[in-house]
Amino acid sequence: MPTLTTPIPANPAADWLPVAVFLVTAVLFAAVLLWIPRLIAPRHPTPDKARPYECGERVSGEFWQQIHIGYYLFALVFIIFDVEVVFLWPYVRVLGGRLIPQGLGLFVFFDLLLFVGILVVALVYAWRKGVLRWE
Amino acid sequence: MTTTWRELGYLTPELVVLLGAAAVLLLDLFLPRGRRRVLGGVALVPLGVALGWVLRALWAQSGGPSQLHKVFGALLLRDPYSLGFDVVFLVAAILGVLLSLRYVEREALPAGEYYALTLFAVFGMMMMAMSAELITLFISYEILSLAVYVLAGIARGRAVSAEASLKYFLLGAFASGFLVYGIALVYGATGTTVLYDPLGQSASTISGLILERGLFGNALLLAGLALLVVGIAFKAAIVPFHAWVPDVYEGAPLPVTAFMSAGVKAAAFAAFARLLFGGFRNLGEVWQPVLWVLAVLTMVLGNAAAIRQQNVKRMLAYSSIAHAGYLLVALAAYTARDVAIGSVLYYALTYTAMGVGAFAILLVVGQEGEANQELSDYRGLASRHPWAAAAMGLFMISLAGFPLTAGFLGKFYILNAALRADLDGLAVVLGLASVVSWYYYLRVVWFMYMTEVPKAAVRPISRATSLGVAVAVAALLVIALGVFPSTALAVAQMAGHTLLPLGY
Amino acid sequence: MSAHQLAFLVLGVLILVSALMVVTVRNLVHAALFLILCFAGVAGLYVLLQAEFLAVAQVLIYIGAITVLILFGIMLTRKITGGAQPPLASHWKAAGAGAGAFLLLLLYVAMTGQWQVSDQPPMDSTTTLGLALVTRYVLPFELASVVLLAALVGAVLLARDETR
Repeated sequence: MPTLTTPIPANPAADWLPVAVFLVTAVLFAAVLLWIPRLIAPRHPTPDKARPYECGERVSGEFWQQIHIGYYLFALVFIIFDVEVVFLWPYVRVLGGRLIPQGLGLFVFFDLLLFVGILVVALVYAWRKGVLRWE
Repeated sequence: MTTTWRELGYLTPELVVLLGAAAVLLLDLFLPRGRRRVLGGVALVPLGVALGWVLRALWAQSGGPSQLHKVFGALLLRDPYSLGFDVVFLVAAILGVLLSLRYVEREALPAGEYYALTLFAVFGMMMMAMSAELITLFISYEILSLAVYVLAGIARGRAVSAEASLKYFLLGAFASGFLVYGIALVYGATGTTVLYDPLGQSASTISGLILERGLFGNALLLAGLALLVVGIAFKAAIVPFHAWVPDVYEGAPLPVTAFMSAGVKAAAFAAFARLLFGGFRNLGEVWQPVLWVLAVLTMVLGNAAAIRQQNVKRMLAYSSIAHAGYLLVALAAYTARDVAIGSVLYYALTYTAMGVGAFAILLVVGQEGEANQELSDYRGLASRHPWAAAAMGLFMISLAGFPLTAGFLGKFYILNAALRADLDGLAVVLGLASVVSWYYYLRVVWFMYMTEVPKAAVRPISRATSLGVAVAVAALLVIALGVFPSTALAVAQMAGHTLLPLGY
Repeated sequence: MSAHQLAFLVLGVLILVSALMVVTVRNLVHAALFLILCFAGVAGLYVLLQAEFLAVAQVLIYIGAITVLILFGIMLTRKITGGAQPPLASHWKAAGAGAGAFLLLLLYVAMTGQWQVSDQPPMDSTTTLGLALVTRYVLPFELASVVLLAALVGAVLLARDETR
């Protein structure tokens, strides 16, 4: 394999410290915002106040409804094509630079075309089976 | 680029099957409702073409020195071994599709997906037989698994089918997990995922590195090997990883069960042999005792459970576990590997013919919704429908291993390999288990020929042409392999040899 | 203890605790949320191993798509609280013993086995993966697309409404 010229910084901790700080700040922010009302907000619960909010209407019937199956099919199709995109990303990184050996460029292109082509068949299947339509 | 085209040429049968799967799928999407019946026929075309290519390639190689081609680097091996197993897979698939033609219509199963998934499964099987590298093996294992999980549950109207699919999927996901864990540990121990190089050109393969670095006692490697064996043994229906077989075989639609019992098992054993005799051949003293124990357990439990079954479909399911045990005896014959691998291939072919044939008769006698499959439903079949009974009788005695049938010869060659490897105990167990199996196989024959049933209780059998053709082909294969085995056996032995590295 | 080891400890505890919670809480939605936490911990482990691409892929696919699918699947059922029975299967003691034995075996293997440690410096993971996929592992790459196709066909087949 050809040698790579992208060095890794010698101190990965420095790179990831901002990420860690960001995560901790986000968690603290949410926690604090939830905790402060618990400290200072008045709490006088009544039965009416404890019911779920429905824009002022009185609530009736079962609260937990079965959702439309379309949501599930949507997530299903999303996973497949999400994985496809994740597979494409390293390819894109390599195609962009000058790291592919000579003469291999066309092969790589057809390779990619085949990969996407097989998943186009998947898309056509999903389309014709009405998965992409919302009833 | 030219080398790539040539390499792709070696993969012709697999590509044909894959294109066929895509074609069936697309055709199903754009065909009007009424024309769906043609899909089964469309599915047979790529299977037939692939089988023709494979047979021609095998024929061309049986005269001269075996040709072995490394495709895509060290990932796949196009050798007579893989060609031989491709024959088994394609025969199982063609017979399976023939069995499905009438069934899919009658039970209103989604035809396009059914045939497309069958073709995907065959593609996965063929890739598994060719894989010389663990990642490729895993991905082809997954293609096969996913297709078969869905096929088991494709009869959506029946609860048992959905239950079979769910059980298969959950347990199969665990098995895949074990397989991947094993791959990770083996990679951790050796630094590569390539199993072996039969041409001896590269030593940075798992088998080469084991020898070079003396990794014989390496805990990582051994644990990885154990997990790999577990993962593959699940698919091969070996005890104690067989728990899914009875429920899944019983719940899945009959043609799917027929296809699974032959094809999936053969694919698992194809991969098993490459794994053990190719990649981990230097650890033979380690895995041979393990296989010995597993073989005994499988043969004993498979036969013991089959005796108690009254439902013929379930009986055939348990008996297929027993047959996996017989195959495992051949794999355990490590020191006689030059004849053992060929005997595995030969037995896989005979079992496909016998097993799928038996399931075909089940379809012939069976009624709508898979009723009519108890032993009692076979009463007096000989007097009512002599040809069906004769075919079933042939399959039963062949499965039991009576002389002059393919089943007997298959077991004979396995016994031969076992005795050559000084596995006398295992050979004795195999013989005893076969005798025990006579009971439940001959019981069916007894019901058919020796009992009568009042006219009123007689149900009509299915007279579909496709079923008739499938039964005839299977019966012919069983007779041919039993009476004229020499060509097939010679090819199988030659194929078995090519698995082993040079100078082995 | 270096920062690396501390991070590994924290992530390890996070993963194990959230995994335990996934299988023991009675409310299915809470279980799914703990699963998200578990996956996030695994992504962190990938970062520690300098496989950043894998970490991002883990977050995108596992947390972004799979847990969403799980949650939708949960919402398709009517009862999300387990009710009176505990979420563990009836023979959990035997299963626990078996799993515990397996764990001890794996620990023994991990401690005593000799790992092949590479002496090369770590490289940019995305580009390395890309090159490997293009040169050596072309075939598994294409096979992966076949897996995805088969999975989609199978899943849509089993999940769709039978009104067509």
